[in-house]
Amino acid sequence: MREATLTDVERIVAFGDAERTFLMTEDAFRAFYELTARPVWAYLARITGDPRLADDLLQESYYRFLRTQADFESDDHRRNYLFRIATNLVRDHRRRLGHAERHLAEHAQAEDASADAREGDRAVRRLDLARAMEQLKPRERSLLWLAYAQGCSHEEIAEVLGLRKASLKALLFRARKRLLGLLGTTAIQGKRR
Amino acid sequence: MPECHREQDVINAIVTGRWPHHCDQTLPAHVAECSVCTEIVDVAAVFRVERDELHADASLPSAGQVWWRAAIRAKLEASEQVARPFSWLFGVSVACVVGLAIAVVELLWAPVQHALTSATAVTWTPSFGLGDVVRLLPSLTDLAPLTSTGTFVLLGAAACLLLAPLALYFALSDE
Repeated sequence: MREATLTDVERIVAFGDAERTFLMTEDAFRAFYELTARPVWAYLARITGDPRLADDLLQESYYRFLRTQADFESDDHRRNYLFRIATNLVRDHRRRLGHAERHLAEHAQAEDASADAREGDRAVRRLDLARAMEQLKPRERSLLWLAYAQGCSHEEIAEVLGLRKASLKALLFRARKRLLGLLGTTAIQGKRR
Repeated sequence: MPECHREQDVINAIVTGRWPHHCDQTLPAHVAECSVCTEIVDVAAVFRVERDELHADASLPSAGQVWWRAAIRAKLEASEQVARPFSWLFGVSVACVVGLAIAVVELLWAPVQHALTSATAVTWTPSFGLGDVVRLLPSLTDLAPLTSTGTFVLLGAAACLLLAPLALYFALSDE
């Protein structure tokens, strides 16, 4: 059977068809992308610990978002939905990787960060956080990032991570304690300066 | 588990960059006395710096590029989805033709074999003439035992052989 490929003409047609395929216009998408791309990328980069992987997952997240037929009640709902897609993609990616591969990937990431550390104090601080985050569970990373970097409410975090709101406070509390324990007082004092 | 009702206010102030000088001034005073909020300031401040640095580091594709790639991929997936039933049709057609061919060979094999056996009984010599060919003809009538069912099978096979190329044409054509 022949492999499905697109000719240049089909590509042009595809571009025209996109607005009929997706529930969003290109202009609306541009506005939404400008608002959300950096936060989503930062979220992906921090919870995967791999900026290159974050690049791939970002494109995939927007593709899945565009293909969705869901109705959104508000911009916040739309944004949370995108974060949820990103979270699920990271979960799927981790599931595909075996434990050994995950360990290697994380080790490689720590070595990258070590190289960065030579660049100065800023890199040292980032390395501290990267190492601490590596030791947290993926769900704890997501929880902490959404709560303290994105400033999401508990309702929003529950929606993004598919958790019950009732259990969220306890999970967040434990994750925060773990992170502080891993960072130690030195790193925190450094950040306060 | 200790909680504080001003947690979210503290987080919002840090995340939006209003902490500590541009936020509600009761907030820093509250944080100084609240252990929960002090802890939150420690964590949120670390994340705030990290988030800003990641935002600065990020080299993202433009919205147009992302839209374009998504459009191409959607079109490609749609093409593949359309092609999928034709792949099935192609497979089923091939299986039918092969099955019928085997059935026809099975049906014809005994009479043909008998006819061939009769033919080899005739000695093939350089002087083999028209009379010998005429003598062979009766053995070909051995093909006659083909029943009416066999005729239908033959007709079916012929129809399939005619229709299969058409099915293939529609399956493989671009339209």
